[in-house]
Amino acid sequence: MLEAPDTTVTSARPVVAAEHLTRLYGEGQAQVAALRDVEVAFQPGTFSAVMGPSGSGKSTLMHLLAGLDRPTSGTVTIDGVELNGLNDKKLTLLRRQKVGFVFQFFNLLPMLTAEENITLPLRIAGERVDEASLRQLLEAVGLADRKEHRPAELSGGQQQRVAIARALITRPAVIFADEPTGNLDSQSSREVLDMLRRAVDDLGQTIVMVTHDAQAAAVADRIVFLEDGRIVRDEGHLTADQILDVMKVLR
Amino acid sequence: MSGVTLRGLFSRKLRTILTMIAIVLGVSMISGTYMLTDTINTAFNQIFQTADRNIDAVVVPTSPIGGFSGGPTPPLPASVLALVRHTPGVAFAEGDVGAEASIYDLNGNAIGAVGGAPTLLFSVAAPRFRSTTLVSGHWPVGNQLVIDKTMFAKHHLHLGQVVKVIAAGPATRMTIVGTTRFGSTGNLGGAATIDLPLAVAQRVTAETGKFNQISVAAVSGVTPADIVQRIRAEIPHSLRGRVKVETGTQSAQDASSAISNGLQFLTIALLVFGGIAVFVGAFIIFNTFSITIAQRVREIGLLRTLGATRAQILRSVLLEAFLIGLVSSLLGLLAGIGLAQLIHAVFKAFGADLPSAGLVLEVRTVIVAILVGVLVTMAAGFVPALRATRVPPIAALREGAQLPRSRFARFTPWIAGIVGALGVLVLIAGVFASISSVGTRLSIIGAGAVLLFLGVAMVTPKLVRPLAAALGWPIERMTRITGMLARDNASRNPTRTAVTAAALMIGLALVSFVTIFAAELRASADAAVNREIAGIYSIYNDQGQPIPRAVAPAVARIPGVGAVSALDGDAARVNGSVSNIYGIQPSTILAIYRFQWKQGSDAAVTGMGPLDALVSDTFASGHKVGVGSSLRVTTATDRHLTVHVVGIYKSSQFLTDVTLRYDTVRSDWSQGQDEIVSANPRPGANQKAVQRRITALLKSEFPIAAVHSQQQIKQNAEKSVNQLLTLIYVLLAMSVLVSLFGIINTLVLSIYERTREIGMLRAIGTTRGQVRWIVRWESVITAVIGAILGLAVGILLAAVVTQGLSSQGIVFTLPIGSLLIWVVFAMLFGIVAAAWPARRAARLDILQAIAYE
Ligand SMILES: Nc1ncnc2c1ncn2[C@@H]1O[C@H](COP(=O)(O)OP(=O)(O)OP(=O)(O)O)[C@@H](O)[C@H]1O
Ligand SMILES: [Mg+2]
Repeated sequence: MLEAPDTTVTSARPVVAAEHLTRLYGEGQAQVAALRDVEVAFQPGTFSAVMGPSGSGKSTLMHLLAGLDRPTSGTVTIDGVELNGLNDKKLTLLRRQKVGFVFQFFNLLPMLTAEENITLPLRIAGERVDEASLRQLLEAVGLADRKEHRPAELSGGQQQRVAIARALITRPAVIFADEPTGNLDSQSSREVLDMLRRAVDDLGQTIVMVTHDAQAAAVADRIVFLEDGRIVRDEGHLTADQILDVMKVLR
Repeated sequence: MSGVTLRGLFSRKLRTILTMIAIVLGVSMISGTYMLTDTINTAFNQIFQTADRNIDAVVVPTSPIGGFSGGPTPPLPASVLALVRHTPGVAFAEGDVGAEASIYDLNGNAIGAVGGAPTLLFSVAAPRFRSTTLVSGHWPVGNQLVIDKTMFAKHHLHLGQVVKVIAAGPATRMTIVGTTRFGSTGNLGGAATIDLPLAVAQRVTAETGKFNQISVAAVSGVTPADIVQRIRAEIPHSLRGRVKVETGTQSAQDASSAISNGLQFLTIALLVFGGIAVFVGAFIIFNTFSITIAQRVREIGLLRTLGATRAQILRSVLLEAFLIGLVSSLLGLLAGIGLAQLIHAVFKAFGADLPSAGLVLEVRTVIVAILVGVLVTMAAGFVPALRATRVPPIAALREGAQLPRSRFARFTPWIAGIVGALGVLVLIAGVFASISSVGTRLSIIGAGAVLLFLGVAMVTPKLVRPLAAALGWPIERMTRITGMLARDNASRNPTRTAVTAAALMIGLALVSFVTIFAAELRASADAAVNREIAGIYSIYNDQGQPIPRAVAPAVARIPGVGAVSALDGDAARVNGSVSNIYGIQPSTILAIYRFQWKQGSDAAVTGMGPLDALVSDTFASGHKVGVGSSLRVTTATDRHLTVHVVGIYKSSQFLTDVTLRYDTVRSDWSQGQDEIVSANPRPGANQKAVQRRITALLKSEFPIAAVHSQQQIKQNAEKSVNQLLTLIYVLLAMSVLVSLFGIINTLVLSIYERTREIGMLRAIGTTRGQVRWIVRWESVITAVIGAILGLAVGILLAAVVTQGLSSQGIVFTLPIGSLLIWVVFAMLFGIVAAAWPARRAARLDILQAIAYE
């Protein structure tokens, strides 16, 4: 397995933190508050799930935390760097170094092989690909025999595993996953969740996952519930049934 | 269904506009050409109508050898004027002189029309026939002249200024005493005009007692047609073949149609280039329709599930093509007005202000523009339309449904091969078959080239991946990820890239063809000078006008000048067809010119009798004559003589059809002047000093002539080749511009398709700059594929055409440097084409892009 990142020194500091985070859409009468004054922090080596009804602001929160969008007010800090002061270029480079993504629709490049898709972030950064750790990663996501395949030749679950490997390869401070199992059958979902779990346990990877799926959230160490742009519950590990009970209460 | 079509067009505004530009440009060139030439024709028509408005009949000389080929038509003798004056019904008749001339100031600087328009010398017409009006000063008497006000202003002349006027006769100093204007406003369509008293005009043109035209006014009650009949009846038999009598109106019409015949070449040439631009546009239409239909597979599938028939789908797509074609044609027509006006303005800037009431828009122009635009767009959209009908209803339900492969797809390489091979065969036939008409030959060559282009374009999809891999390799080494992704994007959809590249291929094939051909022409001109010209000094007029006979003896008198030989150029009817005739001086020609003998030798020249002739090999084979044959020669002055062939030389750019002795041609032929005078320094004389002395003599006595070293002859040849080359480049620029929009269009459409990918790349850390370079490199790869294919086709075309011209001393060459410049050009072209699409891609909002479905 890969070496665990050296988190001992910084363990006191959260990898990602948001303060007074507000995001408004539109103007005047039509104004919508997607997030209202959200305070949240994620510690290194933790696996957190973000849940909530549709429209509660989950994606908005994730986009702001990942530096893909800018808040109306409030701050986001990733690995000690405050995002507000950064221009597009600096923000891009920060995402490149410190953030990994797993999307619902996999978002692989169809012309590249699985291996090329995985190493894409390194190549974008102009970094050398370390063959040994690449091989380890391929083993870990179970794609060693599929590395020459193109996305069209892989199943949905395999494609999502490629996407996870792609997120892992740069050893980012945090990986954001937006409904990673939303497009998968239950078997593939389990494999994908298992892989994310192992990344946290074995590598000390920090993961923040937005999901609708109670089974998925049950894998996490912590579950943040959003309603109407606010954090309404912030729980530790819950079982799927407990999660469903919480969700029933929320609009 | 048509409602869906319309809404579709509006919702895809940007794509629709980009697509239309492809057709607009080509159509604008075609309609602009028509408008321009129609306008020029109308303008000259007006000029001639004005010139002849009070003239009932004209009597003009005609050449017994006919046509416009060869030297000037010999003037009418004074006896004809007497004859006309005595014709019953003639109220007034006067003889006029009209000829080309040159004017110089006393320092030997030319005062002339700019842009190649001639300077025309006229005798002052009687007041009743005058079409020019005095603007300032007075009409000339003695050695005085009046000049048109445009020239007067352009050269900052002043009344009382003395200038030198040179025509066929002796150079004469004359004083400017007035300025004129033609008709109500302008000048003679850009020509400079001077009017001289009749006797002076006759002396200056060496036509003492002779006329170039007799203008006639009839007594009242006699119609122009009547007076023409009466004058014709008076013309004696001996002169019938040399005199033409017609009404003033007819004469104006003749002159106009001579102009429009002259313009025909320009018209056809411009239309051909417009046609090429439209042909290139067709590729872009084809590509855009293919791409948009592929992107609308689900929508089309949906329409099918809702009960739309295949025929309805076909009609819907064709309607879209029709509308795009129609609107593009109309816009092209408008742009054509702009283009014609632009060229008109350029003419005006060069002093050719045509007295036009405005741009002439004929119905024919509108019809041709709309037909071309609509038909080409619909033809190019037809194959994609057919493919759209093959979308099954189920496509509506499938995520990422693909356009079904055409049933004929697997035959495409075969069809491409056949079309391409057919193209090469037609090309070879066009080049090598014995075809008398140049027009037919060029049409066949053109058809071959079109087939070749289509064949290559059809086979290109198979070449895109290997070419993109090869081109992408160095880029990838240099840039890593951006180059790699660009290469992958370029080869993701080979047909799309291929068609885009093929559009550029056409322009660059023609560009590299003319680049090669021009290099060959320059090389052959150089070789011909080295091979044939022995004279150190060649004296001639740079515009190809003849030079006075007095030049040769004057040069011979210069100290240090050795052998001097004059060469005369004329035309005559030889064994039935009009041929070029050269008059050489046998005693001196060998010192300045090296004949390339096929049969005979230099001895045939030295021993040449007055009725001996040398002919070129092409003339000999064309007329099936050899040494010992006799030739029947009819001169422009209606003299008949029989000459005998004593030698055959290889045809060259200096000597073509028939060469006779100088004094034979001199005796009573039409041309009173020399073509070239060539000279050598005396042994031991300072070559440079002698050249300076010749230059000084020419400048002061014969400013119309200039001395050229062999090096300068080569440079002049090079210069004229380069001018032509530049002109063709400019004309091909339109086609290249069309392919630029093709690349932009394809990039924009592809970026639109890859929105989500770009969003993902940006999210995981790709900078805007990197995104821009991904698009740029894709564009560069596409453009360079086009350039490579274009170069290959251009070289093939040049090789075939050169082979066909090998008898003219043209040898196939590959100007590698110049050709590589076009590859570099293609790279820059790709970067320019990508500028805007790359910006769009880099500006994509990440969140919208990844949320986008
Ligand atoms: N670009 C936008 N413009 C206007 N309103 C927006 C925009 N994006 C999100 N919203 C609004 O902000 C609120 C939160 O949206 P968000 O996408 O974060 O919800 P979500 O929790 O991710 O929902 P889902 O579970 O459906 O994905 C919603 O009311 C939504 O309509
Ligand atoms: Mg969401």
